[in-house]
Amino acid sequence: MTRHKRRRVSTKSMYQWHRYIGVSAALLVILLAITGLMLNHTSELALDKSYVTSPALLHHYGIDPPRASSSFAAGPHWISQWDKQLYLDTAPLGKFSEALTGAVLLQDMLVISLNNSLLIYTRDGELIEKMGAAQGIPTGILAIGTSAENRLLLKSANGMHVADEALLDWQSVAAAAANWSQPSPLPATLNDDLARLARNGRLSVERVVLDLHSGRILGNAGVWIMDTAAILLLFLALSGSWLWLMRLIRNRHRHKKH
Amino acid sequence: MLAQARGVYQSPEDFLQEVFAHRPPPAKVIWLTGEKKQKATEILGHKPDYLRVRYWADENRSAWILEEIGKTEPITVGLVIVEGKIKRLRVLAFRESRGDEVRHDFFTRQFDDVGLKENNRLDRHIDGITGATLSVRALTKLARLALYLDSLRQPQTAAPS
Repeated sequence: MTRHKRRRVSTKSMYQWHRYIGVSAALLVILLAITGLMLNHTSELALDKSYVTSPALLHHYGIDPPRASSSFAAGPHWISQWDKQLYLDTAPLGKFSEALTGAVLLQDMLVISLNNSLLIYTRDGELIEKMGAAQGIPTGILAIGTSAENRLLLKSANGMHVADEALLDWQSVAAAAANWSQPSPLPATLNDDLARLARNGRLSVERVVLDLHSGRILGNAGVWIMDTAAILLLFLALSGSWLWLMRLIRNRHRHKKH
Repeated sequence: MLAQARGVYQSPEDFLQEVFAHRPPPAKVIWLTGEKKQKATEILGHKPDYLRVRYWADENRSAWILEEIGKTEPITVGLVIVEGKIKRLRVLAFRESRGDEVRHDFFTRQFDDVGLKENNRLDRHIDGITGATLSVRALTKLARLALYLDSLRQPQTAAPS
């Protein structure tokens, strides 16, 4: 075989490889391109603020329905904490690293006690004030309740404390009869609604797109698949350049002959 | 090693003890409703996430402990106001990972004797700090809010428009 014929055969073979690899890598390249574009515009697309609700995908990530860490009834309302998230009925009140220790309805205010702070809300769930040590709240709150005179009471490791009417000043008091807020299980329907809500806010769309991009959504195998896609892309770039170069050389030869 | 910016520099209780020579007066509150809430929203650039603000005051001065988010975490600031002017601004707790230069005296001194002009703006320019823009902005907002709230507790002083 002449040198010229050998080059033609190898160019033809390279064309075939370029085509086959291009077709087989197409799907992965499309996936990489789309997810890459999405990740480049995470903020604009609000991917970090959108959450996955598909039970199958959540289960795939090992996010199963959570359980309420604690729940308390306050008049007609229910206060519950799921992981760090606090809910007034089904309305999220925010995330608190302190544990929920009780809740009472006092006139038109809903008072929620955490380990070291008190949260005062309107009945509509609007925060009036968050109070901590700076506002005279004792640390290590064990329970919250109301006295016979309908004054707010706190039980802490250091004893019992009573608040004035405006909840501005706290005084230590001797143990007295009180109606303490007791933990109680949520009604079944509310529990199911909250379990769904609490589960839905755990997996961001950004996480899933990132895992699709890297292949990690399929574990280690997915990473290898994406590695293969990257190598195929590299091959396509090199083979494409080589084929372009060969054609350029061939065309120059033709021009010289003419 | 990267310097750690987070820290609690003074507890609110200690701040009040220091301001009122160990005899802090009873707390009072201002309710942020109606126009007050609207003005506070304009100052902060967002709706305040509380309805009442606590303060401590004697015949000479008022003290405020306020919080505002710098980038993602709240910065706790103690302020003392005398006759409509800031007499002391101190960062009590800083929880962000960077930008804590605002806690230093060279920066907080800029607020000394600052008051409000029209539209609840500070009557003096506060120089920024490169790399701490959001923290500087948070402290400036809190200074404006404290001065505005202080003007509400003094009906004899003309409240800025």
